[in-house]
Amino acid sequence: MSEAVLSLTGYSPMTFEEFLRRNPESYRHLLPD
Amino acid sequence: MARRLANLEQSPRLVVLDDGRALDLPEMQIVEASYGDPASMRRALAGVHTFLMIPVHEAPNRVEQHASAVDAAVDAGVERMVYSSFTGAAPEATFTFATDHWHTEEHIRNTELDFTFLRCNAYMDVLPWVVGSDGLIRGPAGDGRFAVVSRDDVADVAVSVLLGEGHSGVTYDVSGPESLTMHRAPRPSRASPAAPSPTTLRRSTRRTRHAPTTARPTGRSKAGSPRSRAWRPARWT
Repeated sequence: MSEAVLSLTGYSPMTFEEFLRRNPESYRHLLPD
Repeated sequence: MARRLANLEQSPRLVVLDDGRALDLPEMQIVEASYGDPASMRRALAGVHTFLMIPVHEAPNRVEQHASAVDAAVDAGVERMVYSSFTGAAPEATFTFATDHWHTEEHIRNTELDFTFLRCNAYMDVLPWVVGSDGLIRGPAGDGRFAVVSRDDVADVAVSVLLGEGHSGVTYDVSGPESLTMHRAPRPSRASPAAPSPTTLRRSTRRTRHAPTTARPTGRSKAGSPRSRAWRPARWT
């Protein structure tokens, strides 16, 4: 893992959990109808 | 990227394959061109100082297309290139995409262009899409670890590099904050999208691996070569 996101943007990179929380549409195709 | 730059009152030129699918933002120049068509790239890049080069989709001639675009950039008078590469880019990399990126990097190194490489990890945006509709993950991941990064973070990094100074000749590894395996990725669910429970994967049979995606895996494992194994998330819902 690298520090590039933090050093170049000033904030820590997003975790996968955070991504899923912010983007529920990303896995909608995996959920039952 | 385009929205970010527009919000910073920049006026980038978007080089696209199909301008009908491009963002319609004010003050944005949109030019159609193709990496494999040097004349179109020379026209598109005329007068451009810095070229952010995004790789084309995977293709047998991917490196050739990239090399053609780089050569066109040189011919057009581009001075600086920022290339979105891949973690572990190396000539002997097992992952073929990484070798493609290394050869592209090498082509850029052999020009007079000022360059910066962003070696990005796999995009977490794509991770849910590696799971098939039958719940199978088909791929040679094994116990390998990776640190997926969001495309939002990559875009912010790219903007910082494009508009900042001190990045000449630098290669950045751009990763997320976690070392994951396919066995232990947070599993999404309707009730709790980011429950930190591990996803349990198990081997399935060769027959399952090659069955149509509508087939239901048996979950029974037989001893076999690594090539006969597929990995199935026990639960993704």
